Amino acid sequence: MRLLEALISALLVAGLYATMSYGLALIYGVMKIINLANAGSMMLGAFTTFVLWQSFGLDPILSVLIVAPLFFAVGSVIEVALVRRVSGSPPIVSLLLLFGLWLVMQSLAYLVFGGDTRGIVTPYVQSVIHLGAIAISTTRFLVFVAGIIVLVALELFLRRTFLGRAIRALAQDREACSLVGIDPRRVAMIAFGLGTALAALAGSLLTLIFSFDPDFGRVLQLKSFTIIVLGGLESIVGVAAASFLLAAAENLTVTLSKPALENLVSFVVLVVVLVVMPGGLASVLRRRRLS
Amino acid sequence: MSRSFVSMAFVGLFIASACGGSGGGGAAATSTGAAATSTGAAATSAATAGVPDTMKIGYVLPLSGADAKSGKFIEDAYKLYTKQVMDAGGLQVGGKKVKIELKGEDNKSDAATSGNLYEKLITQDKVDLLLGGYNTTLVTQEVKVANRYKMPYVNGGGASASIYKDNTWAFGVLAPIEALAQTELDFIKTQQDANKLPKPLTMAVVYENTSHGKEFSQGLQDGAKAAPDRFKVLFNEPFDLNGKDFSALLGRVKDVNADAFMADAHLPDYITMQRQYTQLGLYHKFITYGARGPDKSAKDQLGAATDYITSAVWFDQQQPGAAVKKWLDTWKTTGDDPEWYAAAGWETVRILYAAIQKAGTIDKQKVRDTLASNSWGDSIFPGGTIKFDKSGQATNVYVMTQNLPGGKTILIWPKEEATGDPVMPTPKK
Amino acid sequence: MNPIRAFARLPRATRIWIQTGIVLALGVALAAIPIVAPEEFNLQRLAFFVLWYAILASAWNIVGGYAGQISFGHSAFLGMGAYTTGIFWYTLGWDPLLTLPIAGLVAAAYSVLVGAPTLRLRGPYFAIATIGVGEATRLLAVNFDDVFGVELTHGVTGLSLPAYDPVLVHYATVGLFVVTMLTTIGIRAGRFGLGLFAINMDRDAAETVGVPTARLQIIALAVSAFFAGMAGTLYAARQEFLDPSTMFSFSISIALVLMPVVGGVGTVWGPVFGALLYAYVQDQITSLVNNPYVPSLLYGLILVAIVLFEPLGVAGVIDRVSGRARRLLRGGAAGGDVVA
Repeated sequence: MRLLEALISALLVAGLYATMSYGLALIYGVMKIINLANAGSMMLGAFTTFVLWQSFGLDPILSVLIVAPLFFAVGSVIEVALVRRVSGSPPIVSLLLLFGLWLVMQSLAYLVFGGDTRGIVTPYVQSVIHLGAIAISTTRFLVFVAGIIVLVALELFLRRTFLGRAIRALAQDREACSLVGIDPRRVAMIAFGLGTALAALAGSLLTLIFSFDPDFGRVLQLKSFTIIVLGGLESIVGVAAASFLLAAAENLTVTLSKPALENLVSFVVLVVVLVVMPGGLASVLRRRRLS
Repeated sequence: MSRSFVSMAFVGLFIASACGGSGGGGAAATSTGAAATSTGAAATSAATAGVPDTMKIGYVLPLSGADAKSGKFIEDAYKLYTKQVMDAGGLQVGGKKVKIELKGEDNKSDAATSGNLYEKLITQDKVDLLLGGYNTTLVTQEVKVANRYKMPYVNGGGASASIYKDNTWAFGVLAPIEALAQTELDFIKTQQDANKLPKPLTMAVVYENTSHGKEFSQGLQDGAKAAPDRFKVLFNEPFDLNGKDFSALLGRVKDVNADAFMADAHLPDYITMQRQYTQLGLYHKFITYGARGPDKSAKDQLGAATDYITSAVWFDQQQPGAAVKKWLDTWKTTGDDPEWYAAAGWETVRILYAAIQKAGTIDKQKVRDTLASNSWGDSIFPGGTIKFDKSGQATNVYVMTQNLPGGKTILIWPKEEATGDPVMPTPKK
Repeated sequence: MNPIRAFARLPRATRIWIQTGIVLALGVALAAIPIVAPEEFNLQRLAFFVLWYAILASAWNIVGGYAGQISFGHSAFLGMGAYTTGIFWYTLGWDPLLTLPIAGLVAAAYSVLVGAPTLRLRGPYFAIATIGVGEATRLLAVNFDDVFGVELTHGVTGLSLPAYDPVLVHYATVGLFVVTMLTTIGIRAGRFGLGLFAINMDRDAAETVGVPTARLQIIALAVSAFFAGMAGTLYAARQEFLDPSTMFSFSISIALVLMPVVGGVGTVWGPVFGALLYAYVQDQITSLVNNPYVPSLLYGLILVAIVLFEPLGVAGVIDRVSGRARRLLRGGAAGGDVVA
């Protein structure tokens, strides 16, 4: 019974992590850029939801309908105005650029909202769903479900629609894209916009569970890096799997040894994976399939 | 080489601004005050000769970042009390009324920044005396600076005994955290004698990974060691601050099946943890979150999940007595809640000014000695008097509160100050 | 005769000697402060922080600027050095300044431990890995406060250290600053630096011409960590209090990236400019503007601007401006780049 409880809680946490990481994974997969501003987008998404909730009483889940398109636009603008200019430079340049952008986002949030921790209280924030003897927090369950919906929607988009396949094509071979009539610049803009929208969406959903301030997202972002590196690059499903692995590893650490080391797990995993299998799980599996 | 010329220019600019601070920093007429250099040279003690027209009091608080809320309470207290004094014409020091100029800085809840800003207040702004900051780690660093420059420093923000080790110049109105744990154990003893709580009481302890938390845990462990027939610690684990998910930790707490859940956490973690505690369906006969419990924002966000939680604090607005009532009326004008941070800030500034008045001078050594050797009555803290022990820390008792359904909070300890009967053990749903 | 033009015409060796001279002169001038102006505590305070940042920024520059491996976790080495000194001082009573070299060596050893596997990674991966290392080191310091019953780092309580003469710390700081600057000048002028630049520009090509890339990178990181660790000692001696969340903080790591990049990554004096600018802004502008977040907004905007327009930061801007001035003075002939 305890094992089942632990499994379910790991699953719920995994859903959370995965939702946070899709945006990062998409941008990285397509543009080979590590978007350090991801945490900033997530945080601004959360604050946007907060403002909507405070002014109109809009439920965070519904606010996603506003936040996602809004940040898609924001992301597209960022790509065209900033990221595109450094696309020829070594990857470290875009890293620094996006880092600077994150600082700007954070500072603006501090200036506008101050450093106070904010929370959103919805009527169902305390309620619990009972599965037999096990109790699951409603909000975490909702976020989990939302994460699955996003996963399925993303996979369908990437595999079934022309735009989605164009994005995957760009991830595989940029030059070949122009040869088959895909405009890489437009697709890059859309990919970045989509990635930003996903991050902001995650931020909105997470307001149901966590309180937040302008520094929100920093520690979570590091876990996202671990997840996308662990999950491999071209695979959204890989992100989901890696999220679960990380969540399980953290849960095990807390259960079997010192709870204070919970965050250490993700960092150790990050460094180990980077050094030992830079292609992530997906590459290991691919190798096995080929051999 | 052009770059070297420019770097020379930079250096020059820097030196100019650095010296500019000492030249005539600020409009305050500190010409006589400037005679008291930061090494604490003795000033004359003749009635009005050594006393300036205006004195500068400096403080650095976390006004942004993690501890901004608490910092703001303390700053409001400093400002309000100073305003009261100024409205009466100034502070009576020696033979004359002295104006007070407050200079405050924001340390963004960072210890290194805080130490540096206090140094800046001393060396560049040339403040005469210091009001303290908030949060044990920051205060520890600040106390080092105060001791190095031999500046009296009074604070209501650091409670850990480790702050006052090797200390001569700093004073704190908050009693040590180990006493917090001890107070709760004393209360539990009375409940055990009345057969309301089991004997021995098994405890699951979780504490934030800070010196605050460590001392809380240590206090409980010492208590258990001293009275093993009364208390047993079954589980004792620290957790990282600002955690996002405590479900695994709470799962372990559940497994241990203890009678009591003793946690020590700051506000954001208290809220996150208690929410998950309720959602996971945990139950304990006695629940405490250290000094947290009746905090308004927790009640707002958690509602009924805060029912029956006990806490031990340095001050609660329900304490009886005229001094407390008077303060509550005064504090109403700010529109803030009368939380203990505000009370601590108030006592801090009140005592510093009282000490200056009593010493009749702003001479640092004399003010320091006055602080160390006197008792300060008319206090809103439990007991009505604050006296600093040898290390500079106050020794007042704690009051304990318990949240009741409907958003009420009552005082349950000490017996003389109690406003209601505690509900022990926690009623089962 | 135009002094800039004259300087540009000097042979490289002489330019290096002049720079060395400037560093030594600066050192003497700064060391004289406590003697000449013993009551100017504010100046001494600012001098400490500027020099301290300059040491750290220059140290970072060796691996981040010269070798091109951007490290977002350098506070790990700073903290290692600081705690080494702190522990020896606290438990054994050793004079902190005497533990300077030990602290440096411990930090360097730690850097080899984490660097050996991670330096193989390319650009952004290494950067991400360093974030992980920095945070992991912090968590270890916070949680391993006692090892087998011997109180080591005291975890979050922090190490409360005895009082120490700040004037001695001042001299030590000036000394370390001089040594760090001379080292960076020396590296840039020598074959080691040449190798690092080659790796920075194109690692594979460097390998092809026989540059031992792995070894050079590890040495660069070790030297960088060595100086960063010693800077930690100075901090411990001056502030008399260490706590893990401050010493190993991510914000210090960020500052260590900002300073050299804004000042001019890969140049000798760039990190010093960056340190000056950063310390000045942090100290003076913050209280002026009365809002602690304006500086970070400025840094973010400056960083973005630098990345987009002038990768060599302030030093690059100066170069461009002085280049234009030179061309004006010479009347049209193309001006060369005065590379130190």
